[in-house]
Amino acid sequence: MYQDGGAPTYDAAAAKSTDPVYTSYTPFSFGTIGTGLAATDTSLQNFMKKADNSVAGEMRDCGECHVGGGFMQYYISSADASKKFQYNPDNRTDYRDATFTTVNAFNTYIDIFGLDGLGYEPTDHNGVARTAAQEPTYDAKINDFAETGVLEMDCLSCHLDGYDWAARRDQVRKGNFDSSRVAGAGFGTAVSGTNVTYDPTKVVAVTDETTGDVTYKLSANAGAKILGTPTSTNCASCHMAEHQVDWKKRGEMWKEGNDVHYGVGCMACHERKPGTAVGKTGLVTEVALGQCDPAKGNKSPYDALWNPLDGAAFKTCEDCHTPAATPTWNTYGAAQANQAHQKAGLTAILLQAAGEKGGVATKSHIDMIDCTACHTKNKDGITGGAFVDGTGTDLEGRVALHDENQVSKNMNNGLALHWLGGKLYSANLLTSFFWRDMNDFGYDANLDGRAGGMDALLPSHVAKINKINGVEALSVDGIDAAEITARQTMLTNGLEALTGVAFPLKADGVTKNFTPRISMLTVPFKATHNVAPAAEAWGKTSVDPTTGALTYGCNQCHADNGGFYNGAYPVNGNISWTFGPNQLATFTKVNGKMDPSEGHPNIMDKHGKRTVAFQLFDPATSTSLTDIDRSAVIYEATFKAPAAALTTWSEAAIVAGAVPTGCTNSSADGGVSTKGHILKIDVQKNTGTAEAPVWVDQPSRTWAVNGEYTSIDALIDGVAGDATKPGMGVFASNANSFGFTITNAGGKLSINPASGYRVKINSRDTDFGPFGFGGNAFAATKQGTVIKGKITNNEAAGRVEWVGYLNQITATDSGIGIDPAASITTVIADVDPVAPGTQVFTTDSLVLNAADAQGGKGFSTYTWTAVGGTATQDATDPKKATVTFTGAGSKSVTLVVKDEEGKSTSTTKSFEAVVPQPSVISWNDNAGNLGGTLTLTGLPANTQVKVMWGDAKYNIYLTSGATTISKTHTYLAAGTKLIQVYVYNGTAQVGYFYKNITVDGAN
Amino acid sequence: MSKRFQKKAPLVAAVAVIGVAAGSAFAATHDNIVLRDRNKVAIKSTDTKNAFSMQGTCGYCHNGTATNDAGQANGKTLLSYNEIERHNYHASLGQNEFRGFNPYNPDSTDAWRVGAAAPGKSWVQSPGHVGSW
Repeated sequence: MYQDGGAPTYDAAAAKSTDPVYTSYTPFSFGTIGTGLAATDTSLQNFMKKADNSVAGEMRDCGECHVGGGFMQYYISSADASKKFQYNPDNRTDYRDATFTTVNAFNTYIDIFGLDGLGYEPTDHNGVARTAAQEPTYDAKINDFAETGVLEMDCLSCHLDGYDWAARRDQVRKGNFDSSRVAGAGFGTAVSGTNVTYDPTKVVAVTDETTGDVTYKLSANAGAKILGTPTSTNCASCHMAEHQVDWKKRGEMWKEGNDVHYGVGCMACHERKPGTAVGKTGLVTEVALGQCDPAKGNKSPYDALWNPLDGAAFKTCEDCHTPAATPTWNTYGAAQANQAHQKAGLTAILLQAAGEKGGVATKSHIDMIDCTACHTKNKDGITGGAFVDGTGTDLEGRVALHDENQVSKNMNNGLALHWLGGKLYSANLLTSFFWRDMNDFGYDANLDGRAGGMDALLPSHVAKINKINGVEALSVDGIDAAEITARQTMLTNGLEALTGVAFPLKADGVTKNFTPRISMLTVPFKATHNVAPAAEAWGKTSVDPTTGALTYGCNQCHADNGGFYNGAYPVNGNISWTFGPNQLATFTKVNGKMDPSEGHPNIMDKHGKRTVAFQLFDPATSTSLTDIDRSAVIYEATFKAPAAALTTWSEAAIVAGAVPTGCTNSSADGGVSTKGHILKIDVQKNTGTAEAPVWVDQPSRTWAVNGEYTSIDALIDGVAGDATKPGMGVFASNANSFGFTITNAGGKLSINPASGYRVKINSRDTDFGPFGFGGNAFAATKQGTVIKGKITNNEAAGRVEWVGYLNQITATDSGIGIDPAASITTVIADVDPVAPGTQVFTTDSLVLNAADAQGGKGFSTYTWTAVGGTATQDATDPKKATVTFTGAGSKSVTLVVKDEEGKSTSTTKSFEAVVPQPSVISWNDNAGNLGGTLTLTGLPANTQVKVMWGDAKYNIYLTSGATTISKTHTYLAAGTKLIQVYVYNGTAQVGYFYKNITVDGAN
Repeated sequence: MSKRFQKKAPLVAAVAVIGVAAGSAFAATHDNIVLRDRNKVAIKSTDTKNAFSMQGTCGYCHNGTATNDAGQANGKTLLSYNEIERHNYHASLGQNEFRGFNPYNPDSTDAWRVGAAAPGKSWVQSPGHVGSW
């Protein structure tokens, strides 16, 4: 669009690229304005070759919904270096005030709608058949803003109850920009771009009695329809009516009965919270909603518009349904969800957090799954977008077909899931397909200045070729291989004339080196509306009306083909496809250009470390599209994680695991260009000593392959110093103090840190695959399971295994509905059975074990505490603790168990800690029989000793003062016997001693 | 029925209660609106370019002050058309975030320039709508 502000510049000496800046915001010129006739004006011809949907084109196309203002009214006409992006809204010029001398993106458009703006509609608004002369010409045309007016911000498109979106669109299509406001508001009819006939029932003529001038004002009825808060119908007319943008992207329709919020309307959630600051500068640095900005939902990586405002002042589901404090905003009587979630087991701690792979549960379903995932559902009959067909126009003339039933699907089964920041969200998977030139080497098919790169063909070129050949978008009547082949021929025969550049020839000198293929890109657009009531949500509970028994809803998702995280996703929608070899091409490679995928590179795994790659077809073998399993969008086929080369600083050389084939296999005959691959090295320098290093970050160094290389020697060494093809020679030495060199290690790249430096490969930006670092970058890693015993070794290597595990999970396995019980199972021997309570010695360490709180189900925590002592939980077995007491006296040990649902109970054992007695009793067990000899030593002065043998027998011995006594005894049975000794001196008891002894009998 | 006419069919009535309630109070101030051109001059029946301007018509009162251009009280300070238009993501569509042609830069500190939207797609010039395809 602009002459300056172009691509970043590469500084070889610093091995870094610098962002460009605008210095003038001079519109890019396609040449001076000439005759104004596309057939003879070289500037317009140049525009037709290179441009497609210019800003002026968007006014007629995208302007059907976009409210005006911004680029629809103003272009940025000078730069302000003091502002971010050098953008200052004061430096804009209204198109009505502009004097353009060049053909540019702001004053020139491609005619895609025809004279009357009706594209390929068979009849006009009056039902009169249209002629071929009225149809699109795909010529470049100058937009005369003096005649068309401009698309000012149309306040009434939102604020007028009953605004006619389609009436405005019909005028926008024709370039009747000023008049479109009158038509949309229903205040009159358009005569031309700037001239209208007002409707006297809406607009009242007022005569000035003095001057006689007749002016206009709104009637009272018309004025009364201007509303401060837009109605949902106004919002839906662009967003969620059938075939509109959110129908296409999110698969959503604003339809009564399909969203529990229908009654409160769009602005119930999108009104901002109270007390929010209002922005008015237009600068991105002022992060505040403007007065007319509805509060936006939360961020998605597929919607980048003014992201700092995402979620700002927005009322989330939680803000009304599970508020942490009393809301200060209107919640519209929202049902409180916490109890229902708890009752359904959804708050139970059963899930692993992002980053956790060891099988440790720390999160609940509510923590890990966004509200939309379970509550966004569609009724049967609700439709949404399955495809955007970029191979031709729609009936209205737009250069891609995306709003007709043949590219839609039934949304009743049309939702899937995707990860965003380690949390699952609902999504509609929308796939766009388009023509591209798979000659990656030598033809700039869209004249974007970058030969190769598998250019997407300009849709206006495709549309024109279709018109010349009398064909429509492929999806109009089903797609088969013969039709695709015919289109490939049409494109090959027609494109050179439109680009003005002849195809290169292959080595045979005859065959045109142009390779049209269809590629597809699937994007998971967040589905956040169409909210089903709790009774219809995934995982809902049910209650038996007779018994009152509760049934959990786990198996609604955790089942084969449950349709939530698994089950075939209807990629094909209403289209039927057959295709043959050499007709389709994989969209891209992700994860450092390693894994082919039709998915957007931002479709990340749970851990946020890898793109989840999936393919809708195998271009070599498939003949139809695959209705992929939903799980293919959320789990990788093989679980992988960044390896040491990306995560660990290395003072040793990092040698690529493979040769850099992606950088060295260029070939003019259909080969893959080596241009554009990125290698980026992170560096740290030791500013301390070898013994006490202090590592300090250094600038990362980047190299983008900018030439076509046929060998690693050429790649690394051969063209060093060439300003246009510097190769990697800039890294041949450490002359620039990068802290490393890159050398050729037997055909593989070797990154060699200099002394005192360490390096790792930059994980975000590097294209590992082409450079041969794929094996260095990622390693297979298994995902541990929380519920054991469901799969081999309790670890899953990839998606299929993991989904198989998930499918087996039940409420019972998870402990849901099972109340925990606390029980200490260890029986502690009472060292003094005579004394009350359980007597233990103060010197004992008691090892206590607990029973599993839920009979082996679920996940309980065990907390041990001791009163009067210390309870130390076992490091590996939480059901086990070792207890010691401090001093003598009454003590206790308490075990608290808490299950995954947060339910808790406890048990306490009491003890009497006593100081151990001196060693008085010893037992010498006889070998081979049940007898033995009891020896008492160190007795206090005494006259009589009573011995209770622990087998219900006792003896009394008159001692005559002896302090050492030995007596034999024979038991009737082996086992532990408690011997108790009572010592008397006269009539006074002077001692009591006891000891558990062991009678073997078989020793 | 052509798709065009399907779209023109009345949408299902979805008048939110809040919209009606808030709108009623709002509408009371819009009962005497003179249609004006972009310079805020009242349109005359003799004008050949007579399609009213939102900028001039609404901007007569919504002018950044508490009075309209004739000095009559607005009741409160109303932001101007420009203040609303330029700070409005529905209107700007990324005009204030414009990055330029071929913006990808792996060394940039700008998250969008290093993100997935930019590499290899030199025609994607803005995270917003205009300048993207």
